[in-house]
Amino acid sequence: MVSALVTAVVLLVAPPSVPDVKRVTLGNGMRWLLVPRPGAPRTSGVITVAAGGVDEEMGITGVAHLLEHLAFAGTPFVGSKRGWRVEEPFHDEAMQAADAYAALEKLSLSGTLEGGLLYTRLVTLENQWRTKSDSASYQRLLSSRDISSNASTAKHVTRYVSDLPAGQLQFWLTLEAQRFAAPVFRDFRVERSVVLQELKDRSSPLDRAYDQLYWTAFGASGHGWPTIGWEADVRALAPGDLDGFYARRYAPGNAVGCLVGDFDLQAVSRWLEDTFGAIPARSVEARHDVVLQPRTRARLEANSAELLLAFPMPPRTDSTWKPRMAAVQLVMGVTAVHGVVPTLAGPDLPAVRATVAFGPGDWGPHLAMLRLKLPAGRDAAGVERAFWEALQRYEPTAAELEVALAQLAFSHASETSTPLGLASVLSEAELMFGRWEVSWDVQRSAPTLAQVRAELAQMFRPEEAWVIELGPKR
Amino acid sequence: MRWLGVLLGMTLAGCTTIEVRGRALPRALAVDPADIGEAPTGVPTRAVQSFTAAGLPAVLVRDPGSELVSLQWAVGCGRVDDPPERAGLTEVMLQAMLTGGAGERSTSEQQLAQARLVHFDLAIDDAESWLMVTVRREELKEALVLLAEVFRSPRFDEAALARLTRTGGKILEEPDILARDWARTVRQRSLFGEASPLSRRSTPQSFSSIRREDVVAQHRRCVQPAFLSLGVAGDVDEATVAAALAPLEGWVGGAPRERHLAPDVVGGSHVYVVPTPVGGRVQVEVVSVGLRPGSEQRAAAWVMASAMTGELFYALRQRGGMIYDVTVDVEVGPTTGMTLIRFGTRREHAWVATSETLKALRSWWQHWPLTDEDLEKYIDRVATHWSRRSAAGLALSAAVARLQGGPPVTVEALRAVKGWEVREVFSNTLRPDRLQVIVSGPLSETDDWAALGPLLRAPAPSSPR
Repeated sequence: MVSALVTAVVLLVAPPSVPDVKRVTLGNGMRWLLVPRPGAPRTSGVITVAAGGVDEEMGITGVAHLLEHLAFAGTPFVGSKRGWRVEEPFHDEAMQAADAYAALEKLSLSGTLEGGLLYTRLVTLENQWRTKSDSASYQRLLSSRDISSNASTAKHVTRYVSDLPAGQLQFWLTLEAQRFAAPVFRDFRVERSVVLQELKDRSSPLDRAYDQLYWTAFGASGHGWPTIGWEADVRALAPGDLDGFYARRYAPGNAVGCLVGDFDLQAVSRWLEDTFGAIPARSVEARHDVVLQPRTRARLEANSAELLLAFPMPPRTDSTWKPRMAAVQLVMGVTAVHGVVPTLAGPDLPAVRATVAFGPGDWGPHLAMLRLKLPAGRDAAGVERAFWEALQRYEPTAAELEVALAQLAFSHASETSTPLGLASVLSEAELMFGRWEVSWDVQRSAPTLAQVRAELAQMFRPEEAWVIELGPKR
Repeated sequence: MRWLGVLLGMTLAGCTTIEVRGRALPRALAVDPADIGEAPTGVPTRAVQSFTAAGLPAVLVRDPGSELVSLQWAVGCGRVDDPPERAGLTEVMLQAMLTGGAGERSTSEQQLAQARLVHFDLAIDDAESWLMVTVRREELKEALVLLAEVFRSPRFDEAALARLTRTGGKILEEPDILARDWARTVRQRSLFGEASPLSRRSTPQSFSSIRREDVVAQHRRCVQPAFLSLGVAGDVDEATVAAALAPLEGWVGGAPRERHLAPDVVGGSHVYVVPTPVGGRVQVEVVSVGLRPGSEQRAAAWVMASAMTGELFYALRQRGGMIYDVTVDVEVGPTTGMTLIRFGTRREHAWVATSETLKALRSWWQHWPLTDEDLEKYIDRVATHWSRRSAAGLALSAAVARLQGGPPVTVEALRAVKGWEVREVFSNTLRPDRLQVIVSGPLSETDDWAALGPLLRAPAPSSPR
């Protein structure tokens, strides 16, 4: 009877449709995924590089993110006021001085007489360099072609995204290949100060709670610190740190591009060979495995009271990911009354509100984090107890699982419904697992009620959870 | 000498390998990208098709390849339609509608069916509301059968209503929401006076006084074809949408309700300081109410907002990056046009940023600074921005335009905007004699707000009563 019900469930949820993707592999190992969309007014282009927070080390945390910022400062051809040969000596000298000054900063010697003199020289050199360069040229050139461009850095990848009119593909590929091969980090210290400002704005109790959680769950690894980096590290990052990181991670075989739009496949394939195909192949270092640390509990001072419960999640391409996600969905509640959390959060209930988040990054092992906002004066231990008790009582039904699976299918459809979203998911799955199809395979799988119940019992246990309590000083 | 250097640079660039700190640029890529192709002459745009389906005015924006279909319902009913003692009624009614229709299924089954098929979002404004429904393309037909039931005869389950009214009241007591709601109330009262329906504030009491019969009556008044328009975005055609909407055919609501929407606008200009010690940033709103731009002026209003955003952002950034963002919106109400300049900043920058904004406005009233060339730049910017809008965003604004009785804003309409039209919208909607400044957040004790205009200190927000 149960299996008949489960079969019915599977049939009701239409699986996501698989996109029609053409894969092009260049001689240097770089892969491109091409998704023709006849009639689309614009083309989305994404270049995803396997370079992120997990590739950093202690002391240079935040380097992946800073590099992403500086990748918008141009190339030898874009951003040079009088040609690269004229700019180059100014660039080299200022960068060397910035390296030397950052070395003093790392040793806390920037306040010495030597530091003061070097700083004066650095500022002079940067000003001289600015007479020969213009770091805003790259963005200006894109604007003149009606192209919008942005980037983001995550734990496993850095993605560079663009939205362009159909007639600009050859131009865009040339510019992006040039930037990929030889970015020029103009206005290095200005951009570093922009990142430091971002860090200053990121100081809410919840940010601190997530930082603490990741550090305790993943320890001294790239998963353990915020992708933006620790302030002391970012403050002392030098151009040389960026050069080193670039050399380790930015190789054509370590990147995947994707285009979604109305274009001619043959012409694009030719342009890809002429542009990105011209970049020599290089090897990159293998990544380290992530090791989860023992579960812990912590309390942080904050004005408002919250309870953060975190549970381990497998990579999103793992066969256990879907049943676990379904289990999380069921616990959070598929409607306002079905599930665990709806009995805990709401008016006249122990918690005011509940939200769920996943992080850091989801291509590797990560966490599902349940955040319960508590009313003033509410005892967090009591709410936590109520959560575990409600979980013990909860028996998901086949009808609820059907809804949970439909909601997961909808989330995936939302994530990939825009050309940019589709290009991002395709390129990241291809980059991380060698096959973009793997992401759709998992999405199309339909776990049974028995599997989901097993995951529910396995995942949501007190001994499996990291717990952080936020509240006023006691 | 300089030209010799350039020439030499160019020659060397052509014959030797370029290297940037060890990063070699392949010869094939040693070209100036600016020389490849030409800048586009026009912006590609999505077409907006207008049609009628199931008696409803509708628009369709094609979105090739999208797995989702977005149905954006513009509902001609908002906060001003709440009875004074039942503030929050329209919001509760729309949310309660989404808890299910009165079919043969049990409430639980109904809720599960809905949660499986459709995904809702809701926004309430003064005179209008937006109900945004997203479904997977292959489930469009099934979802619309369900929606038709919800629109025609919502269940308005007592238990669901009780939960919604309790939640509505509780949410208002949350410090962040309380602070935002209070700042908004201060703004509306400063513009329209305390007694205006536009200044109405929901309270836990007004929520708890809402009964099922109020909700049913509000549904009958507001949710009817005469007060609805639909924007559809997705990889579907007009015929598919019309067929899917067939279950709504013949749907007749109650008689059109009367609306009293002409607000009395309060004269004078003031600076309102609203101390809300929640959140890290200070929020500043500089607001003015004037004439409602005609439907043919909507494109000019967009251009004006873009130009003001650009000019203000530049002016404020010149002062050392003191603001995080600045946006200028022209909100077209039923009888008025409201220009809202908003920005967030750190406490230490709040006064200077506000002062700079007022200074800029004063100078613009003396002399609108934009040349035709500047204006062209902003028209270009807003047309480009418009062309990049998501299909769902375009569908919604087109649906709202149809509800308000005007043509949708298109790239062509934006390109056709003239300088005098922008200046006219500026002088009609942004009035120096009706300029209110509302500063809310964790404010510095030392700032001299009175120096910026007649100062009124609002009390700190308390639980609304």
